[in-house]
Amino acid sequence: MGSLVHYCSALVAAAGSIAAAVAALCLKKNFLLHSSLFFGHFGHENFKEVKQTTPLKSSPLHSLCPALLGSHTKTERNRETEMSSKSSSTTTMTTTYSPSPTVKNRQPIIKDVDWARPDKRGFHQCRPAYLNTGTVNAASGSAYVEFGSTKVIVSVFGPRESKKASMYSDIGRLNCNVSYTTFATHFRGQGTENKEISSMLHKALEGAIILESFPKTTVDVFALVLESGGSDLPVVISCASLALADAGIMMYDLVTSVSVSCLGSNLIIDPITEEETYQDGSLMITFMPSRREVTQLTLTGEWSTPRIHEAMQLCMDACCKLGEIMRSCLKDAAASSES
Amino acid sequence: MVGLSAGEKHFIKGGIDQDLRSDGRKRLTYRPISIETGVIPQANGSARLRMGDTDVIATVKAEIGKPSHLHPNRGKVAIFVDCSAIASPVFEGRGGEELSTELSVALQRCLLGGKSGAGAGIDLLSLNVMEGKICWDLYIEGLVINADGNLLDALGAAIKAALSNTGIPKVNVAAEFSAEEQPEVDISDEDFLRFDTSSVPVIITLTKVGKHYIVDATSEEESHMSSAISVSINSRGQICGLTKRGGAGVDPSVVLDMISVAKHVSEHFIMKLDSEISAAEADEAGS
Repeated sequence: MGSLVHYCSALVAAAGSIAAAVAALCLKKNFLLHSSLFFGHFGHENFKEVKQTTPLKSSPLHSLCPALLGSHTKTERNRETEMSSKSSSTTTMTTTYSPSPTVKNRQPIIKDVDWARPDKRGFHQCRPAYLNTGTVNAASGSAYVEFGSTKVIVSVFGPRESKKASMYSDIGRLNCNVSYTTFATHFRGQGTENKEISSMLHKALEGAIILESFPKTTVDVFALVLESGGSDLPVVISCASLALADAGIMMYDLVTSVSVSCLGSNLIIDPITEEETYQDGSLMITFMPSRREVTQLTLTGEWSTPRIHEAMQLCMDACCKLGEIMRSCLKDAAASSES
Repeated sequence: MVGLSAGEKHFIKGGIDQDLRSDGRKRLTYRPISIETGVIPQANGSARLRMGDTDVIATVKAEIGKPSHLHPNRGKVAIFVDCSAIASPVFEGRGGEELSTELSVALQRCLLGGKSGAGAGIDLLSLNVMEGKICWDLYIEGLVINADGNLLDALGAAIKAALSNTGIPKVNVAAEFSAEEQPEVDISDEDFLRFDTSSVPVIITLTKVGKHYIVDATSEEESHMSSAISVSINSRGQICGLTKRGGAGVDPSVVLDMISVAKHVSEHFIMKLDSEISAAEADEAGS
């Protein structure tokens, strides 16, 4: 127990690896998030040692790659190598997913033909994802998700009594709130709530939740972005739907979300912050994979209709893959709680 | 929200199914539009737009500012929408805040293009006065006077009219200044630069009621909405922004169909709006 505190704080000191702290947190269920993140002494325990002493029960390590449209042979090959490396890594590294260190030196993105993404991904290749449910004990349901360096934790409370003295409602209410930690971005922020993102999250989820199933009550969805590494909103949305499923809130389907950026003539999926800064346009879709329905769609920049079609196909394909991963994550969680 | 009885709802829905809406319009017909420009003398540009009972004012204020470090050769544009309590008692206090933010965000998304500035309706490079030192900051403000549905389209059109009414004063920069100091500027009272609004997109909101889509929904019709898609389209037929409203899920093919319908509608709407704006400008010049 004591060593775990050291381990966590050492990581926090190293900055950007709150992920592992929270992952370790899941093991010690009686651990309080704040105490481990902000208090405790700075220790120097070895990462590996702790990893061996605290084996994780289940550690889904995934990479989602949407099927490619057209013949992008280069990306195809990249994907295959990525896949093979993934399968080998899952066999060797069964204990935990190791979060990649945050890129500190920012390099300008050059938009030429041989342009490569800063993290060496293919254009149509998503970041590796790690998903976990039941992270916060106090909540009815919670989920922790990281996509590359974007790390998000969502807890769901309720259905519970509506706090605001509002009118009678024969359907349930959904209350969404997204906030950023002060250390989420490169520049120390205010850690303020983000109204725009909160309302986007609300709109993305309300179509999927069967609000009729909890009349007169409210379900609160609180999302906290621990580290902002690009494509924050899609990650928040996917994480929130996972948390809702964990809380046992009735939904028509899981909501998955993926965004693409348009850089020059290229469509790149799941952009990181650097790519988002230089993007010419972006498209974000929130999608219910089993029902094949779009709950939210936003688009910026100048697009032609065929291009929108292409980007939507790409996103929906990635959403389907993400949906499968989320489903298997929930199944794993259910299986481990039964045993 | 509009309180409607089950019978009224059925009537509206039935009318839409038969392509005859309760005010006699077809599904893809707009209400009559009237535009007045130059209604706010303090602003650099302003317009009042009425679309049926929906009544909005858009103003453009230009101020000298300093460009950001990231984009030293560009001006800045900020868009705000105020849903005042005069439009509806529900907007009192913080009641209109949610709608205001939603509209502001949608307008920003539709008018300002991508992060790199590509596809922006307002050319930020034209707001540059002196690279890294001086630029124009445009403050675009929308005020909802009366809300009877389709606020986003009305605000988008009003902003386009206000921008075409906008005159940005000519600026003379003092020739000599040191590298650190902010150069002195002389803002002309007489010479104004007209704003090019040909690339400013219009926003078309298609509201899905049952199986059909309608444009320019009144608030009664909007209360029926399962989902709506606001597409902003410029005169070249390119899509510059898209927002979905309403939480209900729709099939991806329906989204694409709605986009193509919106594109079709936009051609007529842009023509109509342009002629209305030039008529309003002529009116203002004549009076």
